[in-house]
Amino acid sequence: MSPAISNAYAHMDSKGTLTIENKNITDVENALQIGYTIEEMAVRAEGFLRGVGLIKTFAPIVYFVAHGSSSANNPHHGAHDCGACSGRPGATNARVQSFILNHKKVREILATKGIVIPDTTQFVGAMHDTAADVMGYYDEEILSAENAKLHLLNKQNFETALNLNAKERSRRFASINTKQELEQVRKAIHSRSVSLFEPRPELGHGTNTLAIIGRRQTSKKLFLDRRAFLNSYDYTTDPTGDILTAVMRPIGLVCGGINLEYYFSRVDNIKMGAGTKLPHNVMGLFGVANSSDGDLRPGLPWQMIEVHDPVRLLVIVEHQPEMVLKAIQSSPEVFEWYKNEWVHIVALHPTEQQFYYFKNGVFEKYNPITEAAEIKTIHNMEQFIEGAKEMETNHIVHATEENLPVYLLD
Amino acid sequence: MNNISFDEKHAIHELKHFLPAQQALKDFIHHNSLHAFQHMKFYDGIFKASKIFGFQVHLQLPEYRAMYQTGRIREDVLQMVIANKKGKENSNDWKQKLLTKEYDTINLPRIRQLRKYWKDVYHIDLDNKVHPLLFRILCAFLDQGIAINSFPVVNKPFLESIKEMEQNSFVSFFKTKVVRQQFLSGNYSISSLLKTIVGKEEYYEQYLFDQQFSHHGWSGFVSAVEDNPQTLLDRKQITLKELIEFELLLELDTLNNVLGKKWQPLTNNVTISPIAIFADVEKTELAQVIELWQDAFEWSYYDSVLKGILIANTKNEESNEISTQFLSTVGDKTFQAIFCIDEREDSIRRHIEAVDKNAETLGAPGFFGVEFYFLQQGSKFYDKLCPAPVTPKYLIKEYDAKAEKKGELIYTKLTHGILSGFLLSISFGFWAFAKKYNYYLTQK
Repeated sequence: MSPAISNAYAHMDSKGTLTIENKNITDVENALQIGYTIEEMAVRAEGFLRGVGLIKTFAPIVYFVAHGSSSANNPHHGAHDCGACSGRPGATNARVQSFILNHKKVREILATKGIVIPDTTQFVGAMHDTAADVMGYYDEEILSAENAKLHLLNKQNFETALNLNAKERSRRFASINTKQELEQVRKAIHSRSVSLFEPRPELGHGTNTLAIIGRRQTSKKLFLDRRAFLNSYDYTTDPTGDILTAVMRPIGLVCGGINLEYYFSRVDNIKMGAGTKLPHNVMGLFGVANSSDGDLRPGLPWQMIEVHDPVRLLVIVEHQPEMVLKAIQSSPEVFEWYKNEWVHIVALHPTEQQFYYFKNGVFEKYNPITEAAEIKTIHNMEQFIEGAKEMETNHIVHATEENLPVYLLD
Repeated sequence: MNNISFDEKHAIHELKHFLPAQQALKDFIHHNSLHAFQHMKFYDGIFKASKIFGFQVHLQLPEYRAMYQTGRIREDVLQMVIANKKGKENSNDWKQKLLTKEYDTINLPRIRQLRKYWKDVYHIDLDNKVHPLLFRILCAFLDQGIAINSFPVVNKPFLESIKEMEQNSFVSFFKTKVVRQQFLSGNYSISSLLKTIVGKEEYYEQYLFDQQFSHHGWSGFVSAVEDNPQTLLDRKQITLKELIEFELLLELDTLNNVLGKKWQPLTNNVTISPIAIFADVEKTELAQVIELWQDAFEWSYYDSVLKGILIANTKNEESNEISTQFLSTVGDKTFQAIFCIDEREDSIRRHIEAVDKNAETLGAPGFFGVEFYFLQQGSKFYDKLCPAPVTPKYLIKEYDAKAEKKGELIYTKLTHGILSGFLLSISFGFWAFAKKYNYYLTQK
């Protein structure tokens, strides 16, 4: 990759070693402990696994797939990286949690707490480049001979999925013919992501609208057009709702924050957004301005928000409404997002299969008025993507017509 | 806001609360652009922000109507929203307002109503005279290494640095000796400068809001650096108070230089009363119409998603029953992949599950439950790798890295030279033109 590129994979060397385990707690630098002790690792491992509901039935390989974004000539590249990693690529986190969960002593502690990870299961760090649709893997050499074989097969499947993903994304890029062969589309996506001339290496969080907190089966059969934050959470492992409280803590701040940054940059791109990228000058490596005499331009540039529907986030939580209420009321900062309706929240009662919408401090029943027949089914994804409508201009009415309605998946 | 006595600390605190909170671009952390209004209900907050600062906080009325015409805003949802908020008996009346009634949509904000009198009364554009110099000085002081010439004074607070330059230089940022001397003597304060420039004390805070929101990007960034100095790798000591003091001095210098003695404090010539910038905002009928449109736009999508989830869950239950009957057909999971909750990973997860039916994907915030600072080999700086509000106690260092850390061409200074900048600009310009031309020739 050219040195003109802001390369997400350059943030950490895949061949380098990390000081993850702390064997001496006096090992400190600038008041920071270098690495985690075994106990500290076990606490984080348990918290993470319970949070996503992955406490049994482990596959032979569990991948932690971080994400980052490589692009050229793009001062806003940090806005394309991982928000939960303070706007940086998350590969190091994927590698660290994989190391922790592969650690024999951590597994022994986890086993005492009822989480038994088979010896044959191995965790592998990886990172998805969301602009180039490339996947990089870390510490593959730790895999057992058997898992190494499985990993090779899995990688092929990841590659096929990346091809399809590139095709799906390409429908929004005027420079790419979506109907080309999959490999050609993928190549075009990659070239485009690192082109000096391309102001839209990817579209970032544009169109984000939903946050679904629940089991995968809640969203698996739906085509949501890349509009949903998806947080795994299994209510069956959390009858008291304590895990949900921890899960909900960052949702308003992270997902709501992203959503409202896009909302306001979209509705007022002059005062709350950064305007078009094309005349931007990078100021001191910390901001952008139009010309050297202009004001700094906070917010997002036009090229990142033009396809965005300015709507608030709808958070959908799979649990009983009283549990959801308890979780969002856990702190005033968390509750403010919902109480003041800067984001909407709906509880999906898992046994009743009934929605409850939070309004004026209470969850009330909500029954969708959409008829079942109105929701169509996608039978062939590639054909569907090729046939999807393209915008005539980037005027709001045209641009957001590209945002597809919900579909069922065959 | 209408306090007769001016409280400098309070004024600066209020300014910091309402200014944008965006840090350096390397730390781009998405947040609510109207975070200062989040203690209010959404619609109350956005309409108040709009009235104060002149922000456009929703789509334009014709845009909602156009989306209704194309079906993106559904009629049945619109009916539902109106009935819920205004009552069924008033539905027709409100629907007509939404669809056809003409409204005066001009918004006269409260901000910038005082400082405009410089233009009206003295025909002087203070912003135009002061901003270019102010922005260049700020940018040079805060520069992170891309300037051709680095700022001559290092490791000192902003105003001390400027003072040192003034003392050791043959030229000055100031055009009048009086103001330069005042700056060097340190015999000034925000209040005393405001007394000279603005006059009546009851206008001071309004003047400062007008002034700082005439460049809310720079002011917001200075405020962010003051609160989070770590956002700059090459740390700088600067405060919003220093910025205001320096800007007032530059304004005074400009007024003296351009108008000589032919000017008086601004409010001597102002007939309007001080504006209560943060007074409550009356909810207009237009605001209610916008609220209904926005709700209808949102629920036009949400409602179908919720229905979709119910249908999909019903299908899941049916297929689970079938699976239970034919357990032998259910294989073990080939692998599990845990992605970030990021909505961009929705599609790749869907494709993975389509390619390998026995793969399972999950989503979790992308720091994967481990919070720490990361020190890349060869780097001098710690990178925080966890959500912004978390302060980690741990450091993870990289060693034995094989790849050498190189400078990135994107940060070249070559484009700054007159000749090299000119040549590079026209080269890339022609290259871009050739690529565009080629694209149109081949037409995808």
